[in-house]
Amino acid sequence: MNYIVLSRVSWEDYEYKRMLELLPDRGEVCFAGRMTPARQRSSGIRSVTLAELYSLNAKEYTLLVSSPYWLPDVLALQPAYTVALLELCPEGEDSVLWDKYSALLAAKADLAGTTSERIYLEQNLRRKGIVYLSGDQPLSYGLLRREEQLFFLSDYEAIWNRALTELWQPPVVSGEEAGWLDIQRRHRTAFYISMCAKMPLQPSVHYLAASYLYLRGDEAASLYLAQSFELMLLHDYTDCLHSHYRFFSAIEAKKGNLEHAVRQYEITAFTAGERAKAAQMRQWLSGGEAEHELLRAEIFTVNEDGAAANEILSRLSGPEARQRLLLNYIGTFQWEKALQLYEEMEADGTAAAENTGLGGFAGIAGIAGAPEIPGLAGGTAPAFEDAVQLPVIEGTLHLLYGRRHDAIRSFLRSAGADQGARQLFAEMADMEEAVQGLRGRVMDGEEHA
Amino acid sequence: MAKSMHEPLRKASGNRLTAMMQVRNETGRYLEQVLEELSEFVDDIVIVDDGSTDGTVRLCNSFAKVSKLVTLEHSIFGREWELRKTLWDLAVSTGPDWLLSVDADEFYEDRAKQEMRRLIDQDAYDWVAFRLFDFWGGTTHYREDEHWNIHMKHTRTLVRYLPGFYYYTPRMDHHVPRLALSYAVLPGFLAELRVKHYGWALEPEELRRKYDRYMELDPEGKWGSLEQYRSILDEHPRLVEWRE
Amino acid sequence: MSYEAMDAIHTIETMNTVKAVSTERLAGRYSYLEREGLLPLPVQGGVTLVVELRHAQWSAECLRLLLRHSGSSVRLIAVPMTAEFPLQWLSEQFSGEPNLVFLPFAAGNYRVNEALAYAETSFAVLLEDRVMVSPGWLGNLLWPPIDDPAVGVVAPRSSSERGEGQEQLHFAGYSELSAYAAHILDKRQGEWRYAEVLGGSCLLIARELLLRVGGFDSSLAERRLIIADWCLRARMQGASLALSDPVYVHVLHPLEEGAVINAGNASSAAGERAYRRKWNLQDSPADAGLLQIPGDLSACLPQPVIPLGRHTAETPLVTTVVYFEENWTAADSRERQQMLQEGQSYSNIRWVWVRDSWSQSFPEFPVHERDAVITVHGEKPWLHALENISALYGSEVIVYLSASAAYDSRYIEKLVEVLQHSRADIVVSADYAAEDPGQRPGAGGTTQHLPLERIAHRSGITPGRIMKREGFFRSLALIPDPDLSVGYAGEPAGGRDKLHPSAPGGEGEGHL
Repeated sequence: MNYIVLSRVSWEDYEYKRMLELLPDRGEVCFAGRMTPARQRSSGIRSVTLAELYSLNAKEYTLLVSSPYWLPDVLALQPAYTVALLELCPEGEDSVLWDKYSALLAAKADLAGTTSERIYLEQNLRRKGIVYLSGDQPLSYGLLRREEQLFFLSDYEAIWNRALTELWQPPVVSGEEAGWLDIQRRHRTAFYISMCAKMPLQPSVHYLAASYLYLRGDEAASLYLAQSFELMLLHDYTDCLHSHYRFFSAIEAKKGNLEHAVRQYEITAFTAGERAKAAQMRQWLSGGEAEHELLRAEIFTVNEDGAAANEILSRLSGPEARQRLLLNYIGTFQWEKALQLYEEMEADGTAAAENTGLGGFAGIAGIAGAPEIPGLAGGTAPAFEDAVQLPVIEGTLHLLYGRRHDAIRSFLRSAGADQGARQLFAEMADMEEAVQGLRGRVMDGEEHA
Repeated sequence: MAKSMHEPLRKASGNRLTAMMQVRNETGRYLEQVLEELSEFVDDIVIVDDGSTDGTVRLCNSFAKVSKLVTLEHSIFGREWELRKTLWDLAVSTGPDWLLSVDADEFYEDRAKQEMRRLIDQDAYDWVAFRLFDFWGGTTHYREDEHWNIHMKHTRTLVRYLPGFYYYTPRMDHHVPRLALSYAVLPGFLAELRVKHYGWALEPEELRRKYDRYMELDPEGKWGSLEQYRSILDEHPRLVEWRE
Repeated sequence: MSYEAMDAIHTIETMNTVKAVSTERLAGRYSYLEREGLLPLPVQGGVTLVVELRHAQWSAECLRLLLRHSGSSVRLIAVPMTAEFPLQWLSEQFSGEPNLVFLPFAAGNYRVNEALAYAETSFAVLLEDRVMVSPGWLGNLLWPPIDDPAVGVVAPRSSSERGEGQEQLHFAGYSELSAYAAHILDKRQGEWRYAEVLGGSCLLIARELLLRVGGFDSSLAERRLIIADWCLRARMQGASLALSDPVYVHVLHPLEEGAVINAGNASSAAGERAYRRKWNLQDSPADAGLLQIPGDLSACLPQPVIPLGRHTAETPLVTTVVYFEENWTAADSRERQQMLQEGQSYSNIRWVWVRDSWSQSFPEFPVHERDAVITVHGEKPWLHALENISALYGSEVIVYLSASAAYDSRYIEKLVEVLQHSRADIVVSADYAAEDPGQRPGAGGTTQHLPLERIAHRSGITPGRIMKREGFFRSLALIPDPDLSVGYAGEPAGGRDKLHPSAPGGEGEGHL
């Protein structure tokens, strides 16, 4: 497999050099940006300009992208596979813009990796293909020979290589059990459980243990969450109803105890919106199989587990399911899927404004970040996205695909008159500036001695 | 769960108020008066008697609103967590809406009694905290100084019962909170309503006896502050006159 | 103090200093030779490395490193442990390698035992193909048995060793590994310690110990139990186990490692039970993870030997016990031994020679690998040893031969066949030609005396008491245990073998 590296920084500062050495099936590797001839020789990597980049047959390449502002190029190049290396917003970058476009990049990618555990957990609740590029095991889990050099792989390096290889060689038996995703989750679980034993009074490690156990569908999740909750109380970090307590409902839903799940959610429901949701859940609870599935999806949704919710919703037919799926696609930044679904719904008449509430200004509680990892200051309630409307989504996608005029048209169409439009255009300008800035920095970057 | 799963979790009207209390050898003290006053503004009273050896139990039974009374053969005062749990479990078994945790020497001021219904017939918050005043040496003055200032903050005594909620009380032998810590994460109301605590409204010899008992139970100050225990014997505590 | 005394002390001190300096110099020189790779292995004839092949993605590198860093006098035998292992693909990568042999996979056999049987060097190393070695690893493993000849097993430090020998490390690549290993080698030069049990991926074993203890018990399923069990049996034979602190080998771990254990594999659970049963250990869940070993090995029952080498169902291993009743000259006994060994048609025989050194002259003669010579002092222990052969040597069939008797070439073969088709515990073959009337069975009611030289019996039993009968032509007789069933094998005219089983202690007819 050939690779193209789209970096956020110059070659000197590139943070994933070892990963490039360990790439599996390593054919040609190109770095979009300046490299000295010496560096190219020693690394076995070819430096390419933007023009050269576009002259390659991208269908034979896998892209390794570590900045969201490469997204327009990713969409234009149409490579065989896109691999996103997700990072927290770096110093000096606009965090709103960065987070939004990172999420879009993540949704677009075939595989994502991150060195941030927060992003790792967040992505685990949105998609399947995410690897944590860090680890705590003092052991080697693999080896790789490249010519004269023999490398040993850490656990996450072995997992990463397996994940990459499975992109072009999907495994014969695709079960979750032995898959690399579950293996890594297992390692994280074991790590946090051992941390809980070492730090029995620390609420965060218990919460993290509960999170990983939940992801693996292990019933012990509720024990660790309970322990974390108790510790929060003892430490007097009382602002944890949404960040910690509500999680009980998701765990109960996963166990199949829908009544308990609803009860736990009800306990945390105070705003008008939450109470409405709780009422709807009660109603579904007394329904049949289909209603129960909607209920489960909703519990996962309110707990920001978009992946679990979408898995259920995409299996269901019926307008209610599809409406919720649409909302979830929007919330998890799978915007192309959202538009496609919307078109299907328009075609069979289920997309009427009153059904979806999208024609108007209804606030859509999208799915934003995963539960924050609480530090000593206590957890904070997750932020809800502002209303994201379809024309805005459309416009953003047009922009990313380089269709500027269409983008402007969509933004103008989106309701909100001047205020809203101005903001959109401001963001458009910011995004274009960020893309230019990135290219300038990386492609024409100064060489370091 | 005794409370039906099909009833709404929070009712904005028609809430029953159940008082819960633990008693021990209260004859000659304030229990009778407390029960009288409670009977005016609560719907139910639930009591655990911690091994009384006097006429306390008979006294409790003489009040119609005492709907549940459990007598423990032997006092478990030294295992306060267990005592609290026994009382809680008993109270919860009656399927209550709201619970008022009362001590056998606590009196709600008139305004509080009047407001009680309004406080509980809503669905916006799940607990109410009042200002508790430690009366000292008599029933006219309360104490206010370095170690005695509980009225400067609020004490949660009135809670909505939520079936299925994760109730957590730390396992301690003394100074166990009377209600689960878990309520702290739910929205609550800090009422500027007062509760008179007569537990320290005692003659000096009785104060001294109380001091002795604390030192016997907790000589190292594991559960409470040794300095606070010692301040019980202060000759000239700072007292403030109570105004209705 | 007198001046003379002071002078003397001064001289001694100077001598000691000089000695200390020269000792230091020697150590320095030795370290130099080692670092430069100028030292040969401290053992004659080289070492055999038996490599268990399980991890196709790692085997090639493992073998390459072994070939490169073990010195020129090693021979490698690679053994595939599963049918799926891509043996051909691997062996093609090493087709030019003279010192490397690949055994084909054969289901049902624990090939490790067979591979070890092929090893003719005085030491063998058993390792997994996930072990990555670096220069100097092998030489340094060989020192403990040289420092203390009672040491028969040595393991290096690694992440797969448990207890004190465990060292959990990760290296970015081979150069970091070899730098670390070299550093440790230097720093801990000469150190090693005794261990109660070993269970890791790399084990050096003295061949003579291997022959005494026998093979590995694969019924225990889990590798660390298989290794530990063997180590405990070795200790019961009086050998010591050692952990070599200067030697570190890097063991890779499969990603699925945790999952398999957590899944509560049925066969590994059965293996654990078997291990606990074997060593009489209580099931204590608190000790999960740690390897349980019996506290007092001397209190444990002797373990049956698991044979090395090939073991197939069609030709089960037969332990043939030969005893010399009369005094044979050295030359004659050697000749007799050779005749017996070469005379038999049956292929799978372990020969055991039992001699009483007090009354028999017994020349030394070469004994093959799995054969044994048991030497006792005195008639009573001699008889006792003969009675208890099956406890010492596990095999399907035990056959007794007297050096003084005559046997046709298919004698053992026919006995084995008879035993396989009968339900008798003991089989007597009657040879009419040499029959002693007094020895005819069927006397009825009285204690039987069976001619020992005509006896064969199944494994797992002690046949009975063996007595010396004065005045009889054949002096050793077996009084069979009354609970055992005795069958008679005979050959009527026409040459067909027939078995006439009898009731326990009862009668029957027939001859072989």
